[in-house]
Amino acid sequence: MQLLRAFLLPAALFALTAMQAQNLEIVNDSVAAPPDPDRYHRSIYVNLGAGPSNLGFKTGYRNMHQLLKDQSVNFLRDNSQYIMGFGGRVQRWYMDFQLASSFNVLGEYPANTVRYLEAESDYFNVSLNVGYAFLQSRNDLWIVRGGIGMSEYYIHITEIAPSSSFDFNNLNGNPSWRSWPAFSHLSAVGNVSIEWQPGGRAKRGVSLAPGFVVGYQFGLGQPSWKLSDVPVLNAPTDRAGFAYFGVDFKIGRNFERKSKN
Amino acid sequence: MYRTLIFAVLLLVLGSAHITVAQNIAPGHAVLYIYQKGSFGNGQYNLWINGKMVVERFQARSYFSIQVPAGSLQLRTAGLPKYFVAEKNFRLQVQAGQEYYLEAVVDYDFMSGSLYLVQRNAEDFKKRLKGLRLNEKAKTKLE
Repeated sequence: MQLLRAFLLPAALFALTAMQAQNLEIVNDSVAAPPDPDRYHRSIYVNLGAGPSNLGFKTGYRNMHQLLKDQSVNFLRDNSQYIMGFGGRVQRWYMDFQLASSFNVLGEYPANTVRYLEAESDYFNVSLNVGYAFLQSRNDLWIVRGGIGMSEYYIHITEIAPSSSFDFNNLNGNPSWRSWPAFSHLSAVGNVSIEWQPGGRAKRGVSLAPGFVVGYQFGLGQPSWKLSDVPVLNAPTDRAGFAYFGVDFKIGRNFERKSKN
Repeated sequence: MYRTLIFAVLLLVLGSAHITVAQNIAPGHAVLYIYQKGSFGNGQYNLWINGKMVVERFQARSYFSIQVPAGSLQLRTAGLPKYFVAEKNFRLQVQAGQEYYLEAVVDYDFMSGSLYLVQRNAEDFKKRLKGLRLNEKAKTKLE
């Protein structure tokens, strides 16, 4: 009750000061007053963004990487991962469903004079997050998020042949490039992140908002690596993990607070 | 000795802060107090009154006062970068000998920003004054 009173008094004072404004007139402008961030209290949105493996620091999958290193397989890169998702907001609470997948850009192996093995990865992730805006002002917004999901991390190894001329008319006769079946690591993950949205809460019916995310995705449990269809021997176990920066872009439809009469 | 000196300096500082609020108004003029609280997205905003620039790069957490001729005033805000800042125009009717308080509100959104003016009362301004510094580059009188 006391807390309520502590909010009501400034609110009443604010209402009085707002009533006092009277003869400042707006000219040639359809937007009369500064847009009110409290006007829209619910939103639905779709979002596009860069995922953990894109601008990330891999903290997990240590055993597999050690195994590759021990057998002198050169790890080339994590393929860039992008996020698509949708979500909603009710006042300060957010709920997001996200689907992240890496785009495998084929090729671009460096020309070489020796035969060697090279690995690259793909990363797929589904997650459900709940967020809360712990700080919001007119022009910016901070959201803390937590959630769970499933993530699958693939590693492909390819044998790179020494560079020589390649004959398109004789595909079978060219130097062989061997390829291994992809190793997959499926794991439940937890996710915590903080997002900053410059621009703040939605101020228009349809809004566009970029966001910058710092997050950590960690494995729940230590599942072992698998190959599809084949029984495996000596498969390493690993814990998933990415610390990452994300860039996120939301396109939202926002709904006004219903009037009380 | 030092204590009295410090006390005198303190008095002077506090006193001068008070003086800037209560100034003499020239005949046929009104006083506008224009102030801006802190917020994210403070770009480069300028303010014109009756076509004359009165403040350039109006920064967050600052204020200034200006004597303006009584009557109808045209206020315009714009800024840089030009393509991202939307110009805003206002008209204010002022009476001689009166004080008016305008809060400049920066509104930032994706690829757009504006400086709005909102009319407030003296209490609101005095309450905020402690956290504001005087913008000395602003014009103090408009003929």
